[in-house]
Amino acid sequence: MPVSLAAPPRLVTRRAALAGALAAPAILGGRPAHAAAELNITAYDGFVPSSFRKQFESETGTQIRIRLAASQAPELTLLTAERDHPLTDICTVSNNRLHQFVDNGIIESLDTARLSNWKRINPLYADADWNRVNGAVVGIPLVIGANVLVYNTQEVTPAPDSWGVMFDPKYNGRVTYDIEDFLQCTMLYQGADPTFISYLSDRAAAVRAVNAARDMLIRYKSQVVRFFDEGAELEQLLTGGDAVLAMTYSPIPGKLILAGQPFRRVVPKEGTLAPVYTFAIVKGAPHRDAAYHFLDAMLGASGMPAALARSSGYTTSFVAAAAGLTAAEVAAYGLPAEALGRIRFNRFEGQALSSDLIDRAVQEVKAA
Amino acid sequence: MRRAARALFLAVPLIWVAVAHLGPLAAMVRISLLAVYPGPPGATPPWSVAAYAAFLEGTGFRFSLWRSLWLAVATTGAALLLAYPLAYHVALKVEPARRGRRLALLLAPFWTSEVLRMFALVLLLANRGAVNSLLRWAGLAPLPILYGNGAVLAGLLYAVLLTMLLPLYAALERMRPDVLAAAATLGARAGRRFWQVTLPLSASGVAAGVVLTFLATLGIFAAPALLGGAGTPVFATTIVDMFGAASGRWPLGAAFGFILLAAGTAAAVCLGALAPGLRRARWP
Amino acid sequence: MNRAGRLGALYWAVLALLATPLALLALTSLSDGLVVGYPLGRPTLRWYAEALADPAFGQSFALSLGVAASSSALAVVAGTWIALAAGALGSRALRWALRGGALLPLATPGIVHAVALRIAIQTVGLDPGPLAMVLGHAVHATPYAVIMVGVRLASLPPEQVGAAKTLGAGPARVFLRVVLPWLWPALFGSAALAALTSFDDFIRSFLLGGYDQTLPVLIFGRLRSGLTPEINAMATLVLLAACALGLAADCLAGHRRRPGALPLDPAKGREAL
Repeated sequence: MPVSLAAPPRLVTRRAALAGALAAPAILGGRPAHAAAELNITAYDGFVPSSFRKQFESETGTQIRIRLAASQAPELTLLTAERDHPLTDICTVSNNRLHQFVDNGIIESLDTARLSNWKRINPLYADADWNRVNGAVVGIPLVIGANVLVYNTQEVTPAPDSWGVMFDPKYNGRVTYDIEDFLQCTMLYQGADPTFISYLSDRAAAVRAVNAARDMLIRYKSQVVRFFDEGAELEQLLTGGDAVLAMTYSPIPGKLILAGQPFRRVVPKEGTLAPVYTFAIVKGAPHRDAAYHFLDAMLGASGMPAALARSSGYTTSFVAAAAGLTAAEVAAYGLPAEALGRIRFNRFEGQALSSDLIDRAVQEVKAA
Repeated sequence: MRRAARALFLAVPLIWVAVAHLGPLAAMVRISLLAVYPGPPGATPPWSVAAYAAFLEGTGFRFSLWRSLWLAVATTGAALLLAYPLAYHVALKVEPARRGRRLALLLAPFWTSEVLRMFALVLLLANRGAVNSLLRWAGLAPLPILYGNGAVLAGLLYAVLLTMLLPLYAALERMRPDVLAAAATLGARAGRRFWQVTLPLSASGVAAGVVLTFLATLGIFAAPALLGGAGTPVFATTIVDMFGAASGRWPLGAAFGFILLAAGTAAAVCLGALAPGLRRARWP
Repeated sequence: MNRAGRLGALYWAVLALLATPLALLALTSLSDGLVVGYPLGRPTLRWYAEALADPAFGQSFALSLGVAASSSALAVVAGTWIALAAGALGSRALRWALRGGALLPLATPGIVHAVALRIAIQTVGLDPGPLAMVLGHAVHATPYAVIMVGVRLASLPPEQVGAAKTLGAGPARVFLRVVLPWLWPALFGSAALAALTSFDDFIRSFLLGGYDQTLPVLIFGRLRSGLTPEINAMATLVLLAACALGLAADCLAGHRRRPGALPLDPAKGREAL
């Protein structure tokens, strides 16, 4: 499906849908605010700290049911299949996949006025333009995972500081990454724009940039021992000694470092992308009021930044993200302050263009 | 009354198969012929055969399907070679009293979740895994089997061994030991007894096992996903990827699913399996 | 070593090979470290304590068992009925249509079938949950029963049925006393396959289970944070429970003899009916 033909009508539909959705909370918000009996959440393991969950359940009498999703792809499959009769109120959306959730009509915009604790989120994420679709906020940024370069300190010397090390023949057959994410890092390495914002008016330039990255990955495919999808696979690759270099946003390296294994994380000088995981309200959520009540309470709970960081393994988006964490934990979960300037975020506007091109490029790299 | 009962007896399975087996797949066929699924709320997506056409675009998908089929054939063959002696042993060589226990022992490992079994294989075969650690300690060179075709085959075998074993066991178990004894008395040596008596009598069990195992293997994506290298993914993984993407990809996933279904069934029929075992029964 | 000895050795060798990866899982679950791998930490039982104390584990294990038992029973009944009907149909085309339709779920890739089922239950207004899972797993496992029972049925010696009918037995009696005992190994085999497939199944349980998580769904969700010794402890506990169940069933059944390969032993004559 050619993107240029489809994009304008789709944008109109999305805008209309979001405008409608934006109006909905206002219309429905007039109901009395007593706690609903039930709340359903689809989340990653550890995104709702169990101590907070128990506290909320006992304080409000709301029964929380959590459905675990292993990653965005199965979650998207599930929520799309049940789109017309949603069984969940809150879901976890990665900003990389925002356009898929919006295109499939799964989430609605967030009414931040209903969240008195919204200000506890770092404005860097709360006010970010990548968290907005046509001007409306669509999710609460919770945790940030930056695509970092992970290396085995005993096997990789000297300490690398550039994405180029992934193509170093010295490590042939001992590199691993997720193609889709690394393709974008390769684009950074080659000086292109992985958010595609600069190519919105010039599709040919976007195609060139993606093809250049794709060709590089194909040329250096022998570097890779395998492509991983899940955290557990990466963990076994690193601890099993089959990979000494990896690119990932997952909390696995932090966990390994805290356990004393010889790894280090670094944000290369070319910069990187950071997926941000948000909690979004599902369109047609059966218990929307309870959802807002819960989210507000979660944002305001004392000790939440530390609890969330520990249970999820990521750095959190709170203003007080480091509060309550030990120095070792901050180093393991967090992003080094000096690297923050090099971190970029995927933007919704660029995703319609990028998803089509990148999907195809990923298939081509896999098939090469 | 008798005729009505018989009509009911025949009608119920037909209706059940139509509703429970064919019904859901009919919905999938419809999805495969749409341009996107689900479309924007309220709108009906247009019809399109682009999903099927996409399969023919470029060589990547066809290669992946071909690889899947060959991997399934190899796995089925290996499973047959491994499972037949096992089934023979438990069905014919073990006393009836102990058969149940022996069989149950073989079944026990399969209570572990398939994904964890694959990770267990990783723990076994990784560069610093059990096997290689042992080899290094003994002063030998490590075996880089993991993340290659060998590991994928091992993982697939681990997943489908039972699917081959149980039909073979069912077929061999009914064999009358006195038939074999008679053949021996008549002068047939062990090899001849096997090829001319045992194997033909168990042919239907072999056919059943081969068909079940082949089709089951085609649909597995855990083993290749977790144990495979950077080569072409198997077709099942490609399909899973389609469903985890935006609505433009679901029709592709559905279409590819049917292509795999068609290819798998055609291959199974080519294996010539179904014909001998399923003649018209004599009851009722 | 004679052939019996060689085959016996093969049996134990294969059993050992099947068990080794699981032994590794168990071994790493006894280690103190947070990371599953080598070198192993100090021995500890804390992961077993944590797994047992985790309510989600017990619930999902019980759910998995319940769904496996129900769906395998349903699959065997459905598959046997389909095989019997297919065997009895006069029209060849209808016979092949029935068998083909019955086998479709097996040939369909897992995710396609799971999504199709998910949409189907929505269409009939059924909510995801244990019932949806039982139906979904049963439909998936029915082909096993259809093929295994079909094959076994086709080899039913016609003399036995003929003899029973001549002696005046009605169809129900013939079925219960002649056909069913003959089918026993196929019934047992397909029930075992169905139960294990259901117990291990992830994709159907994920899409049809709603908020009721079976064990594989729980494990998959936890695997995101890596393979933890606690997950391995859960798997080992399940394995131990399965062995215990198997041993108990075996002891209970030990006294009763299973029907032999020939339900109509000529020596026993008429009494067998």
